[in-house]
Amino acid sequence: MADEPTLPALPKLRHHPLSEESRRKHPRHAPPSLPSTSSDPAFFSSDDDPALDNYEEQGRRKKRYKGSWFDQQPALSSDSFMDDDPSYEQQQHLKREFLKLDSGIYMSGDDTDRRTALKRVAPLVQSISIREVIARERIDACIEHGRESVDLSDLGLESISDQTLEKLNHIALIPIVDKDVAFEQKDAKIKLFLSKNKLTRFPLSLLSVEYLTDLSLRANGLTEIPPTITKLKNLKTLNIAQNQIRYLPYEFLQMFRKGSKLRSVQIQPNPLWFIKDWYTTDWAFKQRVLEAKQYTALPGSFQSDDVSVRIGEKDWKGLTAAIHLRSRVEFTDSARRVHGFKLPSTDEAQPMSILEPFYRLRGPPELHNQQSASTARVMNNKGALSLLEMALHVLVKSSEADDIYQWLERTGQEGPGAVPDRVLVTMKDAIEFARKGWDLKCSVCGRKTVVPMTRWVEYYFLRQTTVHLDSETGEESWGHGIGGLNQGPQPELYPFLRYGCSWKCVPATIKEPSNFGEAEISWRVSVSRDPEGARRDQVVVGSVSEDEDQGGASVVNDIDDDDDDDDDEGEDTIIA
Amino acid sequence: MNGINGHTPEGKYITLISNDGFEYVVLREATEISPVLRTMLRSPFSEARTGRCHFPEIRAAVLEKVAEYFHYWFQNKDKDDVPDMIIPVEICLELLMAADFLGLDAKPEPTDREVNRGDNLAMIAARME
Repeated sequence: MADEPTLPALPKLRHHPLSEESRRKHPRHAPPSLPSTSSDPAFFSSDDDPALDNYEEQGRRKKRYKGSWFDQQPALSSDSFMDDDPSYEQQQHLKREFLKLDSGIYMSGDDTDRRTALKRVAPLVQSISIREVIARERIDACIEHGRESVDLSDLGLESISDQTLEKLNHIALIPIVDKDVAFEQKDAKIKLFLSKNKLTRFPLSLLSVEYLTDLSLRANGLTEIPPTITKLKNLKTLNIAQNQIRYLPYEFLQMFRKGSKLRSVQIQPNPLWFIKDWYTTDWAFKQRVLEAKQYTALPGSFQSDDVSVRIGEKDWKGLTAAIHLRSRVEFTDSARRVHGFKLPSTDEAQPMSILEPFYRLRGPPELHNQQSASTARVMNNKGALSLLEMALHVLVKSSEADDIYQWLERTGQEGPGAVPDRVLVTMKDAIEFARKGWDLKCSVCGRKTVVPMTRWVEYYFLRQTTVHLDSETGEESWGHGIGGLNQGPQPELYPFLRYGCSWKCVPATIKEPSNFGEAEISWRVSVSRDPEGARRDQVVVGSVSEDEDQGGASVVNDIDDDDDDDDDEGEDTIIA
Repeated sequence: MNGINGHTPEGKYITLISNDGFEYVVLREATEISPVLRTMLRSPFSEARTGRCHFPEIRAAVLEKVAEYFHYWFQNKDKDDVPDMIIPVEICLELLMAADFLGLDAKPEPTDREVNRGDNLAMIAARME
C-alpha cells in the first residue's frame, strides 16, 4: 500500500444536519465528550493513509478540511460547526463578508455559512415612498374586493416600482355565486388610472399586466411612449393627454391593425412636433387624404379591423390610421455623427419644417461612394456589426454602464489614456437608449440595434371611423366620430418616429409621384415584409380607384425649407 | 522587396504588434474594414513596406480581440443573422477606444474630395523621401 501514489486527501467529513440541530438545542443532553467514531467510512482503502489524522481522537474536536478534494485546507475554527468558541460572534463581525460564488451544486461539506446567508437578504428590500405605500394599499384593496378599476390618480407619484405594479396581475374577479347562475371564470378587465401624477417615464412593468384594458396616464410628465406598448394586447382605451410627448413610437401603429382591441385613444393635448404651415401648404395629397374613403388606400395605412369583416356586417367602427406626410431622414453613423438633416431636439417645441414627398428620398452627400468596405455596414443591414457597436452593446448591457460613464466624465478628459469626446458622446447616447429599457428594433428590417442609424418622422391621420353599409343598395357611407382625437393645432395628424438600423433601412419610396391613391403604388422595403398588410391594402385600393381620383395629377410640392442649405448643393442622393 | 517575416507590400498577411510586444498575423483583406489600417498600408511608410503595424496605444488583450474582429467581420461579410462575437466586459472600454482609433465604427466613406486630399498627402510624402 505504501508504494501506491497517495491521493491528496480524504473527502470531507459528512455530518448530519439533524444531529447538529439537536445538539444545539439541547447542549446539556449531549454527552460531554463523545469520541469521534461516528465518521463516515473511508471511501477507498488507499484513502486512510493521508487522512489518518481525521481519525485521531481529540475529544469532540476534529480536524476538518475544506475545499475540493484536490485543494484541501484545514478548516478554520470559525467554520467548524461544532465550535462553541465564544469569540465566534466577534470574528463574524471582524471578518469582511464576501459573497461566495455559488457553483449551483450543493455540497454537504461546503461550509456555506447559513447564518450570514440570512443577513444578506435584508438590504434587498427597497424603501418606497409614502405615496407609493398609499398606491399599494389601494391596489391591495382592489385585489381584496375583486374590483377591476384601480384609481391611483392624483397621488403625486414620481415613480412607481415594479413590485407595486406587479400586484395588478393578482386582481381577479370574484365570481357571482348565486342560485341558477352558472359559474363562470372571467378574466378581469383592469382599468388603471394614473392620471395627475408626476411620472416622467412610462412604467415599463405596466406592460406585463396582461389584462389591462383601460389605461390613463393623463397629466403626467411623460416624454415618450415605449415601442413595446404593443405588448398590451387587451388595451381598449388609452389616454396620454397632457404630457410632454413630442412623438409616438411607430410600433404603436400596430394597435391600429387587424386584431387589435384598441378602440379609443386620447393623445392631444401634447406638445407634439407639428408641421409648420400645415394650413397654407397646398398639397393635393392632403386634400385627397381627407376624403374618408381613401384612408386605407395609402401606403402604410391601417385600420383596427379587417376590411372583409365589415362586408358581412352592417356597421363597422374602429380606429383608422393613414400615412400623410414624412419628414426627411436623419442619417447617423455608429459614432453618432449626424450627416445632413437633423431632426429637431425633443427639448423645445419646434415645428417640423423639413418634409419630403414620398417619391423621393434624400440621403446625405456621403452616400455617393457606397461600395467600399467601411460603408458596407452603414449601407447594409447584413454582415457583422461594427466593432464599436459591439463593444458598446456589451458596455451598456453591463451593470456598471452608468458608473463607467460617470467616472469617464469626471476623469477621462485628461491624461495620456484620455477617452476622446466623440466616444463619450456615443456612449452617452447608447446608455440613454439602454436606460429606457426598450429593446430597440429596426422598424424596417426588425433587427436589434444598439443605436439607430436612421430616424425619421411619419405623420399619420388617426381617426375613429364608422362605416355604415346600406344593406339594400350596398353602398357604404363613411363617417368620422370625434372621440377625443380632434384637438390640438393639427387635428388628427400625429407624428410617429421610426428607427432604422442601417442606412439601407429607410422609408419606402413610391415611384409614381402623380398617382398616390392608385393600385400601381410600389414600395421598396417596408410593406413587402408584412404580407397581411399588403393584402389588405390591395383590397381597399381596388374599391377606391373606381370613383375617386380625377385629380390624379397631383403635383407634390417640394416644400423643403431652406434651413438645411448646407447639404443642399445638388448633392442629394435619391435612393430609388 | 521582402520585408521581415517574408511580408511583401502585396503579401497576404500583415502583422499587428501590441505595445507589450505581442504579434498577431491577420489576413490583409480582413483589415480592409479599418480605414486607418488601409491608409497605413498604402502609405509610403515602413508599415506598407514591411506589413508590420505597431500600436503603442493598444495592449495585447485588446489587440487580440481586434484581430479576432477582423476575421469575424471578414467571415460574416454580407451574411444574415450573424452570431455575436463574445466580448468580455473587462476590455470593452479599451476595445471601444481601439475601435474608435482604428475607425471601426460604421460610417460612410469620405467624399471624393477628401479622398483626393489623402492621395495628395501620400504623393507629397513619396516625393519627399
